[in-house]
Amino acid sequence: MFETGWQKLSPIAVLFYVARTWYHVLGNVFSWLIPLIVFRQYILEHLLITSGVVIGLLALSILWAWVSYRMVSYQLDNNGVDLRTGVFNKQLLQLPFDRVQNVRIEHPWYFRLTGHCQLILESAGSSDQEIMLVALKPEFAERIKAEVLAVRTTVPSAHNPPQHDQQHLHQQHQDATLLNQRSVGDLVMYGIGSNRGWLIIGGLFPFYGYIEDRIEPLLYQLGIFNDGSLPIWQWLVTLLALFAMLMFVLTLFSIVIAVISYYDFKLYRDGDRYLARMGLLSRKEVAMPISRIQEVSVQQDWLDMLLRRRQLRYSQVGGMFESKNILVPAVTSSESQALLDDVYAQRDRNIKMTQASKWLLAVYATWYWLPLVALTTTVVVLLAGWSAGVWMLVPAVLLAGLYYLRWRRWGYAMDGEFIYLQSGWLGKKTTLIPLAKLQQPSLLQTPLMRRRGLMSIDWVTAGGVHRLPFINEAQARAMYDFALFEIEAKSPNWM
Amino acid sequence: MSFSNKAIEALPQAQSIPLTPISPLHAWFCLVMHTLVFAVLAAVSAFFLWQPWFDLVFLRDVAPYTLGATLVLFVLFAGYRFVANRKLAYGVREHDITLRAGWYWRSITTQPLLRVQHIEVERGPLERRAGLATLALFSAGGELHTLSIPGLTLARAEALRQFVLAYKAEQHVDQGASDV
Repeated sequence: MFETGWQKLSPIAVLFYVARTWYHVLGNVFSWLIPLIVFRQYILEHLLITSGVVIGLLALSILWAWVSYRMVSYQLDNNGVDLRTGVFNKQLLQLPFDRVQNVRIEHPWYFRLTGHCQLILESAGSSDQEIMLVALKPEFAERIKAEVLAVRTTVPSAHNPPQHDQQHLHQQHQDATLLNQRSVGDLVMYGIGSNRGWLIIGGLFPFYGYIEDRIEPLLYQLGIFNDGSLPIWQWLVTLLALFAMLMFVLTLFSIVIAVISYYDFKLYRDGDRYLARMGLLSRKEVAMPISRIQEVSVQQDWLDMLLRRRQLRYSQVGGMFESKNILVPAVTSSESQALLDDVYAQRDRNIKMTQASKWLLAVYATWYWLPLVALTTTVVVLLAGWSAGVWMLVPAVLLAGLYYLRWRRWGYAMDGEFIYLQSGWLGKKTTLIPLAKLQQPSLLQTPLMRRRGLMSIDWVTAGGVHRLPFINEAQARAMYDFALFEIEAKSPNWM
Repeated sequence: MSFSNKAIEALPQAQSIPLTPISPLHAWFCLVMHTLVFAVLAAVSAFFLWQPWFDLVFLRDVAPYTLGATLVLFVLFAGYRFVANRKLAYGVREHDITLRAGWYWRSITTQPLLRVQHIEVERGPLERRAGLATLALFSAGGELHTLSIPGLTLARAEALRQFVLAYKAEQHVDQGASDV
């Protein structure tokens, strides 16, 4: 089916390597921005040398991309793909198709003009076990993808049981049904609700000194740092306005990120797989066999609650890495129910959650709240005296309130098929974990818990670990025994 | 909670698995390792406390506290681990292996053999001298949740490994498991 022997990629692939180098440089912003700021005087005074250096570096990156491209060759047969890479560190990666977990086809912006795409084959292992073939013709990429899926389903190997239905393989996406799509309006809501703009504040940390030097005169001008000639209410209003402005900018930024990464989001069901496509600058495609989904969660941050939207997330093996999951942003309640009906039709829609024991609240108070408050108050009192220490009561009470809310949010339930978990602080997250995906259960208890008939369960799946804290001991033991029985007697697949 | 399970009496109960304690030597080996690690940490503080070569006033002033903290942590940590390690016990059923651990924070963990992806018999230098071994059962739950049973005799560890391999060979339909 494929040409034999080692093949070269199309020269268009150089674009990928150039883009990768630049992304890498831009991504490590702090490694060059700090020297840039430190030497800004010198740089501005010697523009000729500066531009020479910049041009030289650009040329070097293109040369590097060319050499990297020359070193790549691949070999395809019906069973797998071998990839040779590396300029100084030569590598040979071999990936049999029946080991492939995920096939993705991406259309990045730098291949837009020529219409090429890139194919990513992920294996169950780590990310360096991933094979990426760039600058492929879309038809060729689709052919490889079909081949991978065919092998995965026809060969009942130890890695992949013959769980897929033979039929659907050869029907490509024509049969795929559209489950959900997101409009720009939805994405704006997602951007507002899950404000990732906050990350910028952390990212700017090394420049606080620099920023402060710039902003301080401005604040003086606005009268923030004046000598008390301004009434306090005016001072407060100005401060609030500044804060609102900052939040506004951050939110805008968050919206932009959301729209770029999830633009034209579409979720399809193709036989027993989910397919998600998204992205403005580069289209990303994630394919996920339903049997590999380890858990599905529905999350609402506090702003999402006001907007009445939620994020639905399908997590698969290695779900701690977000790139492996499919997130459907800003869905309404009914949309989320429909998606859950599609993936977990057997679930109990109206299951009643059991609250966590009140002793969990006592544990929060003594192990988290008390040490935190005692430590910070001690530091403040030592540094600024008792009058300042009194003010620490405010955050202490707020924190106590937060812990109370967290305790109130806790809930769990189990039926013969699923574990249902609910958690959150101000927001709310509900997670559904099929019992069949269990890898390993643990029961945990201290003597104090024993006296009160309480136990915690740690529920380990290939997607992560979930703790059900401080539940009734008899129930915990029953859940433990029942889950083990289900696994051992029925041997359900987990992937 | 709507979980009901009428036949609960008939289910095998993890509570009633007979458990075998591991070798008491294991606790001593861990104590030796912890002592070594903390000795290195304490040596760093001691160095700054008594070194005559450099003029590091701040570090010299801080050193007594870090040294004290290191010793307190050592007693708490190594002491707890020593007592807890002596409580380690394991049990084998037809379909799973169970490990009981901890002294104050007690836990019982069961690894269904069906979910074992990979199995290893590991031996550190001290274990080799004592003829002991550690059996590690890897699942797709990740490194952190590897079920490790230390302080087994080498013969016992090998026998358990064979038992798990035989179980895996029987289960042709197994999923994901490969490199056993």
